[in-house]
Amino acid sequence: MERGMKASKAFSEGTVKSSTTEVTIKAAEIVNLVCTLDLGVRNLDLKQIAIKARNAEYNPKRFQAVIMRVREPKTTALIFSSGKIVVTGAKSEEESKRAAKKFVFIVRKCGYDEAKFSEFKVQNVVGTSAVNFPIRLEALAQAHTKFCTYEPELFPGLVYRMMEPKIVLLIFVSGKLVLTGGKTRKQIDEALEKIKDVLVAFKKK
Amino acid sequence: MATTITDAAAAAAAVTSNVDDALDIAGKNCCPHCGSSELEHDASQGNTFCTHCGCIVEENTIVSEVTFVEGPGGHNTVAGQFVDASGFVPTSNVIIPGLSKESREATRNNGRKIIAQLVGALHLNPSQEEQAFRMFLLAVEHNFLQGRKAANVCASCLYIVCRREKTPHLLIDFSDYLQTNVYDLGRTFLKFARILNLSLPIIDPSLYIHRFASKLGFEEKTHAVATSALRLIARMKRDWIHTGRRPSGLCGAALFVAAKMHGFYRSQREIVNVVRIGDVTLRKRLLELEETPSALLTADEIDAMGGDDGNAEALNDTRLKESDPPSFKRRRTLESNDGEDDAIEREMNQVLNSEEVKKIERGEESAEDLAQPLFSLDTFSIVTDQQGWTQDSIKGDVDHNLPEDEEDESLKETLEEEEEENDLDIFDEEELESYLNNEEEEEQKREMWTLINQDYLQKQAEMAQNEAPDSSLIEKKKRKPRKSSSSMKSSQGTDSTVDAVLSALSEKKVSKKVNYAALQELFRFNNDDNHLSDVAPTNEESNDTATVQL
Repeated sequence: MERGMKASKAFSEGTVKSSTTEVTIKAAEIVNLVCTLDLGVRNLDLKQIAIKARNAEYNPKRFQAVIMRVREPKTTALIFSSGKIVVTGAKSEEESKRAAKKFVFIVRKCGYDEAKFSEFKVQNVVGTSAVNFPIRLEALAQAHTKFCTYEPELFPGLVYRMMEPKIVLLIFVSGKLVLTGGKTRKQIDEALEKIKDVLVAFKKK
Repeated sequence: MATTITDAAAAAAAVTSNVDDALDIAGKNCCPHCGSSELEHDASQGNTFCTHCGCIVEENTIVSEVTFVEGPGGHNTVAGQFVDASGFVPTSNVIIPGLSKESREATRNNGRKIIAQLVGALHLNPSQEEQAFRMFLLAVEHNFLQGRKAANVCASCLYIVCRREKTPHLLIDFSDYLQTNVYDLGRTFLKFARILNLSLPIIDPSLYIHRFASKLGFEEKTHAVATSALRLIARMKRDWIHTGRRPSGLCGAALFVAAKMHGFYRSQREIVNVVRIGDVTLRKRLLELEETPSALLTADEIDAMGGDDGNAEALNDTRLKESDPPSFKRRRTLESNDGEDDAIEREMNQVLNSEEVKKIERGEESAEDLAQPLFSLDTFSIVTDQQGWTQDSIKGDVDHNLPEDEEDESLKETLEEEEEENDLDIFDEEELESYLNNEEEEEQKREMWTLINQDYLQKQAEMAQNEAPDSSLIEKKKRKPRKSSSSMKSSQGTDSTVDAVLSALSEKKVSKKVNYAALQELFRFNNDDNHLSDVAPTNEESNDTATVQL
């Protein structure tokens, strides 16, 4: 117990120290990745797929697609009758590809032997990050009017639309960041690198 | 004739456009003949001449005088066209509002109407209405109305004007009047502001204090309460409560406290109803306010230390330190907790990877034989404190479960590795098989699915059924004239009146008041009679016709 207390104390001291002296920015962590692919099969019988697969749900009243999940990598797919699949929830490109292959395989097992893995494309990458200081959102919004929308009546964060790379950042007063709209992890990292100096300039004094 | 007038204010006059090439007056400020700069402009003649040498520098410029031309019938009409403030030139001479053929004009009229309604409902002034209407014209020009509700676009225009003029109106007031979703309206507004590249002043909660205060019935003390509330807002700003927060919530919290400072009691419910925010939000704002250093001040101290205009800069106390935003504080405490968890996790991993555990895994040693516990006692105490477990029970759990878990884990890992190497065709069969139902389960799921989606299936079936009659109905409609004429012919050919009446009945219902079922019954009876005697009594027939015609 004693040691645990000490450890936690030391840790909190560490954070206090860093917030007053140095500026740290967390490396972007990818939290979601959305990709699409095409099975090359038209007019899938969604009901049949929903019945054959154990991990599928199909509620045509609400949404015209089969929702299928796999446990590893933990992802969810929407399978449309046009043969198009949207895979969400992966944490990396490699993971999402692996998941996509699994979904293709499951569809094959459901009676569509001709289903193939084609036109795989990452559509969106969402990352999070954080800086260790509060940010003056109002000042930032006034200085970067071209890129910012800050409407506390509608959303508590500041929306920063970066042009190059084309990434949308949600910046919160607590210093937390959400980066979205990227196609690759590299874009997210680039955007983070770019916004870093801006954030430091609008650090709480 | 093509004279475009961009300045709408100057355009509200009859403009005679009898000049083909309008010369730029401003560009010629010296005489080309003698170089003198003493030029005189005669507005009524529309020419410019040099007072030095008499050279006419410019003539036939646009004049502001109204001229009349004589028409063929001898009547005088004003030359040119009337251009109204909107810069719109009607194509025809007869303008009937609302009956114009130009759809753009209809859109404009509609927009003007909605804006006027909103202005009336929200007590704005005519100049704001005019500004909003110009915004609306810009929206029309940008094709911004396409695919959007006109009311939302109008409200956005008016809201932009309100924001510029800093009137105490919130977006929610507009959505409340229009009965639309405030976020839909907000999206329209933001998009519009981005298209027009507008930079609007950031919303300031202090604008709304007076408005809300007047609704809370403080009577003669309204101003005093509002000023105290503004001072509180200034404090909230300094303590970072206002960043990223809805202005109405902040106003609510400030007014709640300010009312108490002046001896009024306003319940949270009353405040919630006036500022229109959730009661949870209001309580949260109050709690946040409580956590700031300002919360320790007395009412007199707050009133004495400035911030009357609701700005943090106007505060004149230097004693208290500015605090961090509440969300930042929360995040920091969360992270330090995480750090503790991390420490536990690290130790766990360390133990799991240690030699002893590996030996146990391999079955070389049993867990009971270990000379010392795998985990330090600290970790246990943290975990047990958190979960309320006893040390012994955990120890037992660990001893029994660890090796198995480890095995599973390693097995899974090797499976994963294999998978990665494999291509699509040689996926791990067993794992994928687990994603599929066996026949029994399949049957069960099919039943379940059909049961759950019964409504949907029924609807689908109905739709499929309706589709066929529907198409034939359309055909029938097309063929109707022909068909009715043929049936007319056939009715002409009928011998008995009963048949004629029946066919007339089947064609269309004559009146709602006739009880058709009873009538049918009557005819059935009649028909039976006919079969029996073959000659129907004329009396009865005439009676029947009378009934039908009723």
